[in-house]
Amino acid sequence: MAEFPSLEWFEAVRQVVNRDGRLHRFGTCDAVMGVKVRDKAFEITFDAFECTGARNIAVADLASTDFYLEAPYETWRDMIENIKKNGAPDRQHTLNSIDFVDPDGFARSDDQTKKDKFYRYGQTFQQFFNASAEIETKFVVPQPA
Amino acid sequence: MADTTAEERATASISDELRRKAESRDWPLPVVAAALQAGVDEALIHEALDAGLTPAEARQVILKRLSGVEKLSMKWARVDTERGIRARPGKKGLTIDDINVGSYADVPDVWPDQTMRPRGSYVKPGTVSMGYTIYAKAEVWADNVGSLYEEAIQRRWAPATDIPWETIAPLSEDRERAMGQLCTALCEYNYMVILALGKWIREVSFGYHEVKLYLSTVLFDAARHFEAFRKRALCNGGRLGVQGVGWQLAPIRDALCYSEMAALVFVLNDSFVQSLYQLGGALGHNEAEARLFTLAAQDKARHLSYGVEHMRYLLEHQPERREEVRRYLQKGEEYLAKDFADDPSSREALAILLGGGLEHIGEGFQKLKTFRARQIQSYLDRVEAAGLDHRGTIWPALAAHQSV
Amino acid sequence: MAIDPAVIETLRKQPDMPELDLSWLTTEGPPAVNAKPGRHGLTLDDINIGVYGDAPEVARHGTTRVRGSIARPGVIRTGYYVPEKSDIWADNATLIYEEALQRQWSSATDIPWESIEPLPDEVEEAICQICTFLTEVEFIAGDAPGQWLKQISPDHFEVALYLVTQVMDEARHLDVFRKRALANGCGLLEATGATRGLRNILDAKDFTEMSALMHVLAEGFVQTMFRTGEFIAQNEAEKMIFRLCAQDESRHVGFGVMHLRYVLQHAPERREEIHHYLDRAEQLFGHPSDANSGLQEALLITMGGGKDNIDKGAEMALALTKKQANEYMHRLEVAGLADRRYRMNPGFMMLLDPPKKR
Repeated sequence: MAEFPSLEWFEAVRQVVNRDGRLHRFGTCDAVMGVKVRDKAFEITFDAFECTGARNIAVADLASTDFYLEAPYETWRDMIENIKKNGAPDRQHTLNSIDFVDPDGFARSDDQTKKDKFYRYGQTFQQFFNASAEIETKFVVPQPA
Repeated sequence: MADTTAEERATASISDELRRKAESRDWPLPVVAAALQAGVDEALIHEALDAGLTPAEARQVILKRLSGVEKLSMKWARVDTERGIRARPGKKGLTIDDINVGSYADVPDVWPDQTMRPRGSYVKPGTVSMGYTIYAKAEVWADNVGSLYEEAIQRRWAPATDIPWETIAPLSEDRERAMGQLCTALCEYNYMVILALGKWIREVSFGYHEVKLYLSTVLFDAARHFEAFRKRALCNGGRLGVQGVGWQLAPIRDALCYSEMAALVFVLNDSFVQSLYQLGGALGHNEAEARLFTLAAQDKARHLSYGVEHMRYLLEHQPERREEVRRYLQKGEEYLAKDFADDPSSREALAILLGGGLEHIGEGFQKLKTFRARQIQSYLDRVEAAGLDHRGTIWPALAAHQSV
Repeated sequence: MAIDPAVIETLRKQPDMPELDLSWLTTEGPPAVNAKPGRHGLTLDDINIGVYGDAPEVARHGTTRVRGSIARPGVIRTGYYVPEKSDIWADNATLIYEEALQRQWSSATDIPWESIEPLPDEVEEAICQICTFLTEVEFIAGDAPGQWLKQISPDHFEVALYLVTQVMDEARHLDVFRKRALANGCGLLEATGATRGLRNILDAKDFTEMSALMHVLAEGFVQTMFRTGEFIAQNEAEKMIFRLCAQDESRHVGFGVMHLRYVLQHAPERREEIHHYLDRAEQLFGHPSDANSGLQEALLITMGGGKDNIDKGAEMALALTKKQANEYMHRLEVAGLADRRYRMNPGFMMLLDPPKKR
């Protein structure tokens, strides 16, 4: 069971998504996606038809990613739990929907053209998080009773 | 009957003697006529007939005489072009960037050739012009154009089979009509893109073939979007809506240079359409709508990526055109704002979709204000990324939508 | 459930409600429809129901109004379209459009590039000469439809959508032959200036003229050549290239033949005019005396299997040329122009097999 957020969790998801070449059918993707959850930051790299890397980075280094996803912990937990429950998110819990309803956006970047990769490869990133349904997640902040 | 007459006409030049002999040997008269017209001596045909050749054998003899290559000249293999190129596929297969090696990668600032000569090949003197009008790299180029071309092919989809149409379920009439209205507007916009790019793709000279290839994918995307949104409008007990006022399309129609069209389509209007796609994806009533809008948004983001990179390239290489580009944008903004003002059907449909139904249209209008402000913010961010600070010069009527 | 006018009135009276029009919400237009996907998914033919499928004989408006939507008065014109349906239509446009979407391929990843191995110099050069020719000429079939797109009314959108798939196909063809030329130690060679006949396609001032010249004549010849690619190809990569390109070209030819048939059925008075276009085009296109020597020699070498085998190559090249002419004639027969047999350019006519007895 991997804790969210942790490098172990992202690495486990990465292994799942690369296992059967499922990203291949969505086409090539060249992007460096940042993830910011509480005080932790991660960098996930996509190259051609694969997710090629996941690593811890300093929060300040998120600026060098193409874009990074940032939301309150509850949003992350809801999304991952929803994906786990259905194998894929319902329409309220897609990356796009979360981005649309958040006034600051889920995907953030100082450079709009880099941020546009969030839309350009939307299905690939969604597939990445959908793969989390196939691992067990332990949340550092549990669901309030 | 018409055929007989035509045959008689075609074979009228055959002498009676030759005609009789050919008919007696079962030779088709049109073959005899064709041989005569091609300059074969009548005596040779008599000879072939007398020798008892079948028509097919005779034709073989005649053809060999007329068209056979007796000896190879190999002149074409001795032309002065770069040799030894052995491009190898990488992780993405063999891409258009992978073959841009050596002199084949040299994309000149001005392409000197009016023919269809592929870049890097030799062309025979005297070859005719094909009438292109764009010979300046800065007018069309973007450094990411090759990779966007390949990406568009890799990320292709088909509305007929990649959208789970079976997930569509009946909606209330107000929401179905609102969706039909949005789809109608998107069909009109995408059709305009087809008209505009059809015109411009043909103007780009062959030195910049990567741009021609990339624009082909944009045309393909626009056709797919037109098709997909028409399908959505007609598959759920609904209909297409009322025609839009169409002001935003006028400057695209009127563009007199490629960079003007590119600024209007790939930066300004696509930016606003991209937001609509995101909206459709987020508010989708079912999996089909969510998938459809998300896939369309992926395509649109590629178009924006080209638009911004092209504008950046243009402004870096022809900085004197900065104010000119700003004027193109302002013209487009003026007409877009006019569309917002004059088209109640579009804004009311969006308010219904954002509010979640006609009864919540008031709430929907509030959300529409936020949505518009975000549309403009994203647009200005893209213009800034292209190297043009436009925040203080955006057309006032459009800027008015920035305040929530 | 229909919109209740009372709800709209109540909404209008709400405080802070912007001025509401909402006329679009209650306007009676064409009827609502409920298209359902079939075995090929949800196709254009599936949604061509009632008025939505009714492409008018004459497109009367010059705006981007999509067929079946409700007209708004006062909208600016966005184009000057070819109004007559018979001037641009083909009944198979929707079918070919959907097929094109389903049968797209990628030159980067669908060609087994790794199967290419070093070839004798003269064979590699010959392949590269053929690729140079095809890199040069293929996109004429992208440029020419492109310049016509702006003339197609949205009332006849099916034709525009089909033409767009053709532009996309030709982009891929330009790209794949360029890739092959640069993949195995040679490079691009002599652009042959095969542009007299091709320029004729761009010069066409009438859609049917363009289509007959490009789809039926030029692409028909290229399609036949691609189908005999097995004899030109030296490895699996090249075989795959020719096979995939041939599939694409078949769609283009199919559109052209069906368009010509539609014209001859709906505007039979144009028969002689079309003959004139073909008279001129055949004279410029592919007549042995106007042949492109670089391409011809390259075909002899590849089809013969080397420089020392050009007799065999010539035999096969001749067979190819005969096949091209006969298939061209057959397509014209299908389109309803069987009388072309007796006025075809002699260079082609002498290649024809006798007409089949019916």
